[in-house]
This record gives sequence, structure tokens and C-alpha cells, in this order.
Amino acid sequence: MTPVLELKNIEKKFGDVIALEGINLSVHKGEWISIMGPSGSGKTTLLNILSLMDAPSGGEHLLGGVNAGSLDEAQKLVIRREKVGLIFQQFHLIPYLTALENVMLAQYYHSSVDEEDAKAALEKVGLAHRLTHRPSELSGGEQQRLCIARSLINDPEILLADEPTGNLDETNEKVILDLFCRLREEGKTIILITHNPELGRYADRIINLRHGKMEEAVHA
Amino acid sequence: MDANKQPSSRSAFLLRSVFKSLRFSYDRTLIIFISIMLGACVTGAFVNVYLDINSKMSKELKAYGANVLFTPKSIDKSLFFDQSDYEKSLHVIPKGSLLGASPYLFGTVRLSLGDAVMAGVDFAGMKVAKPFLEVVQGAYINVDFDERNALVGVDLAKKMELKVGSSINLRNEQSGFSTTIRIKGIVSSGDKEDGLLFVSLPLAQKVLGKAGQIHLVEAVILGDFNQISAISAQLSNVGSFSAKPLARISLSEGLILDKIKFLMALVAFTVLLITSMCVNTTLSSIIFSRTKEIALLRALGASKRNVATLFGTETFLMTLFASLIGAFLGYFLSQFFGTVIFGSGIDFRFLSIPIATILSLLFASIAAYFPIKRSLNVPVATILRGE
Repeated sequence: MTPVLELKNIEKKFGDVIALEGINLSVHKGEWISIMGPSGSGKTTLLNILSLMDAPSGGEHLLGGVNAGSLDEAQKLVIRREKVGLIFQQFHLIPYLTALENVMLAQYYHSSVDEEDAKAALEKVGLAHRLTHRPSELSGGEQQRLCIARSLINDPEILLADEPTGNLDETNEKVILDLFCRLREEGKTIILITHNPELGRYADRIINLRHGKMEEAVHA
Repeated sequence: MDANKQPSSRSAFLLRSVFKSLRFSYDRTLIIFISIMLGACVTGAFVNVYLDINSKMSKELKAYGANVLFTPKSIDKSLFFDQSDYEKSLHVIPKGSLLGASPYLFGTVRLSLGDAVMAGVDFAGMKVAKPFLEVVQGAYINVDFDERNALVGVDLAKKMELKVGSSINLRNEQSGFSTTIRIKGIVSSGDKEDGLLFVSLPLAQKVLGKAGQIHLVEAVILGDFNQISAISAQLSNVGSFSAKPLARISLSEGLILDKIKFLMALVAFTVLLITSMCVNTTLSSIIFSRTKEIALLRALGASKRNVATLFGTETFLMTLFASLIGAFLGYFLSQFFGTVIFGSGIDFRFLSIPIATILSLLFASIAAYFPIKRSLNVPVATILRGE
């Protein structure tokens, strides 16, 4: 079975600084991978490459068997909006739009907007009662759930999450963790960057990064 | 995704987002809005004044006096032409364009202390054709057919020892016509008029025995040099005289008008340029503060065109409303200019609305182009890193 995502000897340099080196990874549909490592180990750089927001300096990045390096900007854009759902540590919500409109925004840039679908996505993350609230009126946990609802609205193949519980307290962390578990049960492929060993523990595999190099993959 | 979606809902969502975004950053939006509105207001006012200035300035510049002179077609053949020809010709002048005109018939008459040059005139017309003629004593004659009174130039009055109320006997030796007139006023222009005796034209014709004959006509016609030249050419086709614009006056009017119009265009351009700089700076600041939003949109799959459309729509709507309001306010500003400068209102010209709106939109678009272009190249990954 073709992996949904495959990295072959990926390298990333910023000038003379090597951020990533010799990264090899295969991710199959429905897998939950946690990428862990100390600050500056290259986790976010790797996530940027996986989400096609950055290009590697060397190596091959295959998405569903297609080499991302051979794609132009427009094609990468299509893949990003069709196949990838992004969850950020800082949430990155539009402050002047309501929760519902923030979700609809992702629909807008994907295809067309549908309020009912957006409401359903918010219900799924437990925000049915917060549809008309703006991000500033939501708690941190609610903002992260809104961010997850936005990432799910276009039914992406892969969810890429960068420290999704990094800004949350223990209670909200638990809520988010439960959400990820449910998404795995639904068959979503999840790649999650985290410092949190508790969150990492739920993954099928843990990839440890150190100084831009991948240490052996640990099966959780 | 459900394929059964309303295509219009996308544009509705875009508009909803745009209005919310404008409302969210209302303080900076207001700066842009006011800048554009003021720019459009000044431009609109100037366009109104520009379109009305010909008639306004023509009236102002009529203080210089006559700008068209009617003389016999061929001076070699006759120094006179028919008064009736002149009167018939007046219909070719567009309605409202003839401010005033006076025919003249000159001749020498003997007074008690010597000879004097008498001018038969239309007193009401002469008041317009020679607005600089000042009454230094007595009063002006306002009735054209007044054959009992006369005006005398200040130099002639001194020479002939004439005073207001003095009587003069005028006599035609050939026909035996004789009449006595009274000096009603002493006038001065500081020029040749100071040596003339002014009587009504019919009286002069009787005294000089030149019934229905005149030497020349001075007229004041509204319009720029080209318009007056065209009217003069038409007048010349009517009868035994030729009408010529007094280039010194008419051309001066044209030159002054051109310079004023150029100055107004320059001021409007400068105001729009300042507006553009304000729009550019404020929009740059708005876009800079929304860098994360732009990066997010790009991460969500928005193309550069999508981002440009979003900011372009915001700028366009804001500029359109501000320009339209400013252009309408421009009419009121033009009224202020009209009252202060010309002492009267300026006519509303509908053309000022589209002109001011389009110019403001054009300048604002140029001002918005570079900030929007810069926004398309934000480093998405770096900005969203969240550090």
C-alpha cells in the first residue's frame, strides 16, 4: 500500500546551518506519528516541509506517491488545501470573524462555503454553543478546538499539528487529546509535533529529532 | 464536500468578511476613509469651479470693458455704417452672452469757448462697455433716449468752464437744428474720454445730420477668446461692418483663465498625491499588522490572487464610498469657494461626481498597489512559526 506521505533523505539548510539532515519517514493512512525533540531540533522545519509551506534543500518528499519537488506553487497550493489540515500552537484565528466564520473561511479557500457543514464541524469539537463568538471571547482550549474544527472542515487526508496543547492547561489538554483519539478512530492520519510526553504516548510511532537528525523511531 | 452549493454564497461570504475586517480596524480605516473623502471633496469642488469658472471669470474680467469692436467694413469707402445693420446683427449672439453694447457717433461741435468732440452714445450700454468711466460730479444718465442731458469729460469741463447744471447750445448749421442741453455729470476715465462730450446717440445723429449712422460699436460679450472670435465672425457676416475681438482684452481673459485652471488642476493633483501617500502609509500599516492573517490565508490554501482580491475589495469599497461622499461634499465646498472668491454660488455639475470619484479611485488604487503587492510575498512558514 502506497504511504500517504514519504520522506527520503530530506535535508534543509538555512545558509550554512543544517536544520535537517537525512530524514527518512513513511506514514500510512490512519497512522498517528508524534515528532518530539528539544527546541531547535528541527521539528517545526520538518512540519513546514510536510505542509508544503517550505521546500527541502535536498531529498524527496512524496505525497500519495507524487514528488512534491516537481510541483509548482499553484499545484502545491491545491494539495495544501485539499489534503492537509493544519493545527497551530498559536491557533491563528481571524479576530474579526466569529467561530463559525473562521471555519467557513477554510471552506471559502477550498471550494464553497456551507454554514451547516461548518456548524457540524464545530459541534464535533464541542463548540455548538459558541458559533457566534469571536476568538477573543473564547478560552484557549476553545480556540484550539476551533482551530481543529477549521482543519477538519475540508476533510483532509493528513492532520499536521504543531504543539497543539502547548498553550493549554491540563484540563483543556485532556479535551484536545480526546479529540485526537477520536480522529484516529475515524481513520485520520495525524502527524503531531509535541514536547508533551503524555501526548506523544498516544501515537503509533514517536520520531525523535536531535540537532536536525532523526533518531530511531520508537513504537509507542 | 457537498457539491450542491450556492455559487453566490462565496461572494456573500467575501463581502461579509470584508465589512467585518473594515469595522474591526475602524480607526485606521477611518484615516484612509477621511483622507480619500477629503481628496475627492477638494477634487469635486475644483471640478465644479473649473466647469463654472469661464462664466464666473468672464464676468469678473468684464471690468476691463469692451472686448468686441464693430467698425465699418472698409474705412476707405466710408467711416460710417448703418445702425440698423448693427441692431439686426445682435440676434447671432447667444442668449445671455451679450452683457452690453454701445454704438458711437463722433463729431465736432462748437461750444462758447471753442470746439469740442461730441460722442453720441447709448448711455446704458456705455456703462458696461466703459465700466472704468467714473462720475466725479453730478450723476450718470441712465435713460438712453434722454436728449436733454449730457455728460462731459473732466478735461473738457475744465477747458470749457462747464459745471454740473451748465447749459450748452448745440446747433447744426446745415439743417438749422438747434437744441439746448444741460450737463448732468462730469466723468473721468483718465484717458481720451476725459476730453469728450457725451450725448444720446439720436441727439448726436440729429446735430451731426447723420441719421441712422454710427462710427463704431463697443460690446462686451461673454466667452473665451475662441468663442468671442467665432461670434465676431458671425456678426461680420450680417451687414456693413466687421466685428473684431479686442485681442488685448479677450486674450488676456483666456490666458488668465488658462492659468487659473492650470493652478486648480495642480492643486487638485497635489491634494490627491498627499491623499495617496496617506492611503499608502496607512494601508501599509494595516497590512503589516495583518501579516499573520495573510500567512494563515496562504496556509489555508489562498492563492496570491485570493489575497489580492480580499485586500483589493476592502480598498475598493472603502475608496468608492469615501470618493462618492467626498465628491458630493465637493459641491458644498465649491459653494464656499464661489462665495469667497466670486461673491456668488457655483452651479452644480453632475460631471464633477464621476470625475472626482474616478480620480480618487485611480489615485487610491495606485497608492494601494504596492502595499498589497508586498503582502502577497509574506514568508508563510516563518510567520506562522509562532515564536
